[in-house]
Amino acid sequence: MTSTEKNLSLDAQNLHKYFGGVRALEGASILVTKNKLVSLIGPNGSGKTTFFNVVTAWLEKTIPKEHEEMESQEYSNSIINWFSQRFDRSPKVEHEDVGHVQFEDVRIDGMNTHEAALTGMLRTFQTTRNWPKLTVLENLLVAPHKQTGEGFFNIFFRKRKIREEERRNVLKALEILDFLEITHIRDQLGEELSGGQLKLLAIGRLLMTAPRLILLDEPMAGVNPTLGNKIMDKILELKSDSTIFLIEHNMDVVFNYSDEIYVMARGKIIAQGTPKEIETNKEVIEAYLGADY
Amino acid sequence: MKKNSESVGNLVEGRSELYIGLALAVPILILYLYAFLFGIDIRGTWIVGTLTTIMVFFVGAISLDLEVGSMGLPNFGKVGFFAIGAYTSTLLYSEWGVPFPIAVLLALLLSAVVGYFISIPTVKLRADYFAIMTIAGGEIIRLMLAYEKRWLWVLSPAGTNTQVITNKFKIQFTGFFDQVIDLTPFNGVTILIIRIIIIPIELFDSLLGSNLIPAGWKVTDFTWGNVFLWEILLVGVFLLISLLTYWLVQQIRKSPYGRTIRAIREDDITVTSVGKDVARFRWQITTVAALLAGLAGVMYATTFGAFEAAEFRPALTFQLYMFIIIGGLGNSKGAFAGTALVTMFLRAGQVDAVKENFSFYFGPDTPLLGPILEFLQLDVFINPFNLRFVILGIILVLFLLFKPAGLIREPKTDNEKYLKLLTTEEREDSDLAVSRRQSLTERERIDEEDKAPAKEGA
Repeated sequence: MTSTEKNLSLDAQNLHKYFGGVRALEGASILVTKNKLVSLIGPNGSGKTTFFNVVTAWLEKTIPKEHEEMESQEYSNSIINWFSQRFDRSPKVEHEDVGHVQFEDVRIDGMNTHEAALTGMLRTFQTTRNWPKLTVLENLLVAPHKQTGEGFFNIFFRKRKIREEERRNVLKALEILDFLEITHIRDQLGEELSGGQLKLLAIGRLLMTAPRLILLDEPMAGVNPTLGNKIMDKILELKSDSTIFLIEHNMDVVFNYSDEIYVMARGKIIAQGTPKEIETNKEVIEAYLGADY
Repeated sequence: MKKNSESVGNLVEGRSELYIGLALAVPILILYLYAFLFGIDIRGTWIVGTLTTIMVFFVGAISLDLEVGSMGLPNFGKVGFFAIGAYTSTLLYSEWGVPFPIAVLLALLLSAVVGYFISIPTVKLRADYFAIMTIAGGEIIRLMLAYEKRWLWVLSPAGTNTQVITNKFKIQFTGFFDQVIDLTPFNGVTILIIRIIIIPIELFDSLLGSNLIPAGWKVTDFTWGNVFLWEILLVGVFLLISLLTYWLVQQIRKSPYGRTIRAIREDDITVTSVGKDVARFRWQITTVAALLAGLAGVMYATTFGAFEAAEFRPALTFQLYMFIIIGGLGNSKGAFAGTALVTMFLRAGQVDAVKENFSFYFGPDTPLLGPILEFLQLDVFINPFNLRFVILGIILVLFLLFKPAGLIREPKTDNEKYLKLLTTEEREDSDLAVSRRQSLTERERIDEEDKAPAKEGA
């Protein structure tokens, strides 16, 4: 393993996703290096969110037609093979061409959605989601992975451990509220928050799980510029501990803060590079504004 | 300013809740009291009967509320688990001679197992399809019980094969504890209380010339009558079971587990996105709820002594829904309030005195409507018994329209229980930070944040 591979956070290669006849992704590939802020931009409908969904195992990648036969030949039809394939936990040997998603050294594609989140790669959503009838503090407390208090029988038999864990989580949640500067909404219900506060809360929820890779889907959409800048400041502060992968339409932000930018159009990555390289890239301008510009 | 308006809002909310509660509870209590005083001879037994029925349905309602109120899974097949609990415990004991405690345990186990297997294909469905699947599941169970003659029908004393199942445990239980407990010593005190209660009714009667108090009824005739020892024991055991169920459900609701299932009810996608297996939580709760419904089924069989498959129609599930919607979804106290009030209303409606005295008759002699009714050849009697489902239906619709939270709302979550875990110092620090930032305006908050890094730099 080379040093560059060790530094790799997310390695998504040659991903396809078809919705019937609509080809949302056609062989998109991205490499994200650790502790960097990498942005993904592109016109509306270019497949950015679909890419996120496939990477975080919300959607299953499509295996393109020309590779399907290869796949089915690999696993012959016998029932024993079917079983061994189902219960085989070792990484699947697949043809390289059908694409893969790898987070650090874990293969993500083929995992359940919640298992993928447990690896330390977490995402937010384009439309902010929350739990409206839970307080802000509770919204954060639900998030930590593998809580003792979430095992059914632990509720009755491991009360002391649950109390200790809850105490630790509460302290952590207060710290995060302080970090995001939304301490004043600690006792409010999720349904009482404003759009910007919800965006911050969504980031706070991810931080409760100590993620190593954060995927943010338009964290500044629909937020006023002042608050938007604040959100961006907070995101930049996270860079020391985790890698950040961002979809954003605010070009000022993207070009000012990104270490690397990927440009997507029609389901493919058409350009990649530092902000400076992208700014002058002819293909990118074409994709955004049309060829005749 | 904001705090003031908030507290006023809470007060108004609390007031209106109280008024609605009273508007529903007072008429039902008056009806029940009326039936108790003027329509019943063996009053002790009648009260005990009401209590047992309330507790049977309370366990069923709380198990439904755990699924619907806390988890957001609309299970319409609850009655199937009632049936499994009732049939398994009764058949094992009465027909196969399995000791009763073991029969009950097996019944609970079977309910839980069936609940688990039904949950596997269904928990991933959307709420509406889950409802359709469960109503079908409940009906499948009922039809199997109704038509499987070899195993689920029994020999009646007359020698014919019948689907009416008799609970022999109940017969033996009542036979063993058949000592009579005399309640007459309590008569004196009760009569004193009744004399006070009856004053407004007498006043009402004398003013309007009505006869709410039947002619010839005398306060001094009042007697509690007798109850059997087994009735008292049954109430005691059921009370114990109800409290235990209540405790169990409260434990689940107050734990981090309960917090997560509430989050699943609000938005399961976000729960998945932070790495939680939503399906696991769903099948676990469905299984526990099935077990509790099985327990309610065992209690049902023991209370009513004999039953048949036709009793476990979806209407029973809907009755449970009525209890928890009127009482308030997502909290056990509401489930109890709803169950108690509706059951008391139904019990009071069955008493002859209520049927006769709270009735309106519309027939050919009625002014205005008379000719139409004569043409239709109709005699219409309107009383709390005939119209019980109409009345309950209207109440239900009114609740859904104007008070969807029910009589007792799901308690608003607050952070108190989490902040209690902190030391006093940590807690004071946090509270101070909250109030400090709350006192700022939005503009000041942003300004302060702009200043803050500069300060650190200096």
